[in-house]
Amino acid sequence: MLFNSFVFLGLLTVTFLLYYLPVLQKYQIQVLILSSLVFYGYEKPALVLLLLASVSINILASYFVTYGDERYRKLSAVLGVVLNLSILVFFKYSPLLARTFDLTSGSLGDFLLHIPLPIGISFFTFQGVSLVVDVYTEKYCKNTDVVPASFVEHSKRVLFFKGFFPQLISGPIVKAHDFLPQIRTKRFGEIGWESAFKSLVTGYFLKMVVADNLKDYTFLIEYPFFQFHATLNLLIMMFGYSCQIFADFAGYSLIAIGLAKLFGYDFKDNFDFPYISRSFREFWKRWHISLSSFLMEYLYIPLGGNRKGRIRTYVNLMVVMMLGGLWHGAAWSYAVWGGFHGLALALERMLDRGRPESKGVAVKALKTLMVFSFVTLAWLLFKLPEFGHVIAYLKSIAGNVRLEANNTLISFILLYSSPVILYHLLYLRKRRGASPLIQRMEYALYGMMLFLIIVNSGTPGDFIYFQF
Amino acid sequence: MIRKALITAALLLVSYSAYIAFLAPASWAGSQHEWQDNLIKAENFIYSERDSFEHVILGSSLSCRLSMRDLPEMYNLSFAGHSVLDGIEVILRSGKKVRNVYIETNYPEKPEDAKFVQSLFSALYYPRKYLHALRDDKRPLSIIGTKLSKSLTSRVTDRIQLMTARSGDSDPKPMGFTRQLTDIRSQTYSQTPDDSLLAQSLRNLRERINLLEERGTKVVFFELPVNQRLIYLASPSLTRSRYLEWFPATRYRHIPLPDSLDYVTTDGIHMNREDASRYTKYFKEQVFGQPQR
Repeated sequence: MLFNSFVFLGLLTVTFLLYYLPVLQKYQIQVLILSSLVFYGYEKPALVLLLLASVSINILASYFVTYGDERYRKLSAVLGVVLNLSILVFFKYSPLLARTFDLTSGSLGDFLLHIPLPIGISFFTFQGVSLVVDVYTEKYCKNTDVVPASFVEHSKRVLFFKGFFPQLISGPIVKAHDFLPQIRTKRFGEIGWESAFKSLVTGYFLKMVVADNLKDYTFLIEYPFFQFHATLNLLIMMFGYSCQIFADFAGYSLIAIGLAKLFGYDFKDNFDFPYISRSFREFWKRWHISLSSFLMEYLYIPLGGNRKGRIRTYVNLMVVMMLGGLWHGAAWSYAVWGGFHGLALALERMLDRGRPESKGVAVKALKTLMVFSFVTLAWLLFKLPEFGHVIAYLKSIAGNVRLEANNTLISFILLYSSPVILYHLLYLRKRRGASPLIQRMEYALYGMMLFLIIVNSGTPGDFIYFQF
Repeated sequence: MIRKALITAALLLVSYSAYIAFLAPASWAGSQHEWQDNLIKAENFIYSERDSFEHVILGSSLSCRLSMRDLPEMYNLSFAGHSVLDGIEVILRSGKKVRNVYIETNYPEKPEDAKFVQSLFSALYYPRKYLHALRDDKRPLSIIGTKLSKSLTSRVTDRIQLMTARSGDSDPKPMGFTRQLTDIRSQTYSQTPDDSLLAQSLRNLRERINLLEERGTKVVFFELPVNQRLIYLASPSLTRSRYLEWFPATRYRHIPLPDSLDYVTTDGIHMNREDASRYTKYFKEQVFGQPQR
């Protein structure tokens, strides 16, 4: 079910009314669980069984880690993580592994190649891993604080944590230590209406007006269309895709954050104006924060982080980024994409060692432009999962200089990308201290966004991150 | 803040609606791409104040290329990327009376898109009938973008183009494009289509045409010329003969292909602007019997 569909709007309204109905106050979690299962299974009800299986693993593993025999604590945690990841590998990576190890022929190959990818599996699997690891390490809170002694109560809370519909299919990846302590009875009067409104309006605007309109031009990046476009078109399309992927995913995350607020839950920001970053390190602190912080907390630091020498740090960065890349999709191009970013992070770390940060405006602007250009170039690997097509695209950029540029395509891409640029510029302005005029006129900005959602939304498209 | 933002949005909507209703020039319309063109054509047909249409053309993106300036008496309800079945469905569900429909025969196997038609007639679409500001051709950013592309960017891109192109070597057309695509298409056009699937598609079409005929609509078929190399390959040849079996010439009129088939296409199947205009004149002559000037 899409956040921008009318069916969802209906489900949301019914859920909201039931949730705050005083007579059902005791059953708030049950209402949200039921609604989430409808949301998830709406198009493919069988998926609910997979979700329940995944949740069951986490219920059992986290319960045994907390209340089981001390001797089997570690075993329970390891088993929980391994089973979580096995489900992910089976459903997401079987076709890739079959192709890589040439297992495509025969009935086994046929079976492996046709395993369907359940929507949201990458997200809820990572949430499950965070639960098991958090209760095992007790790094953030005592495990008995988040795992109640009652097995039934625990099961309900875990099902709610993994299944809560705003974050179920495309994140943000909510960590157990952030979410579980928030579970309690919520009251209508406690809703943060203004922040929910701002998140929802900005999110829907970025998705429906920016991303959904840009997608009708950036599809031309796909093979074989791009080959026949002029260099200028190809460069502008890459720029447009960079803005589209941001608007699409940041939009989705803001909608999720706004929806969760309506039910009294706070998710952390998932995007923090990433295109103003002056370094790759900064970019990954601002882009898909819930994933990068997950990789940092549950992979990079356990691998040794930067505590085991320079070379090991660079290796760790590469490994984490390549695995992070593969998390996005079952194609080696995603690993290459991650590898590119890993390499950039490692090189940056190497070159910046002991060097003071430049304070010149021009140098800062140049750095921002360089990071943005690199990130934009790397998005090609997202759009064109076949590596040969990426090379062909770059060749077309170099070779199609003489072809005529398409003015319509260029103007519409620039027009629909401009809100993303403005969004970042406004943030920079606010960071320097918002002018009283901007503060006073904030409502007009939201009114304008609402107006454009009503009259200028593009044809609805799937969220890009659904495929991950 | 929320209340003020909602009031602002409402005021903007009311002002924009009033502007469209009373002040906007006729040229205040725009389309971003083919998909939007489809919606605009469908909306203009469905919400037209006319109860009946004399001549309506139904087809795919091939028919979208027809020069409608030369056919002011006709309405082109051809949808790019869609089947003629979608056009028929729009006519049937709109309740408009159509005296003559002209059905393109090039791609009968294209399936109908039920979602597209359902969305046009859903209750959520209904306010567009009265509130023009909600219609696809009135989207403000589409209109601004269309105007932008016509003025500002042509200057900017031409300059950048000049800077990047090697002097004296400028070539505005992607020369290999048409040839490469025609080569690819000739492979698919050379394959004999699945006869049972073709029969199923034509059976569907006949059922819909029967419904049109019950409402008094007369049906005429026409085939648009594609690249000469493709016209008589296995797939179009079989399609042509099957059409004549399902819709015999004794009962239906089939506008023949023009004698001269040297039509220039941009990608093997879609005529370029000049030749689309040339074919339109031929088509008009066939329909109305007017001599070509």
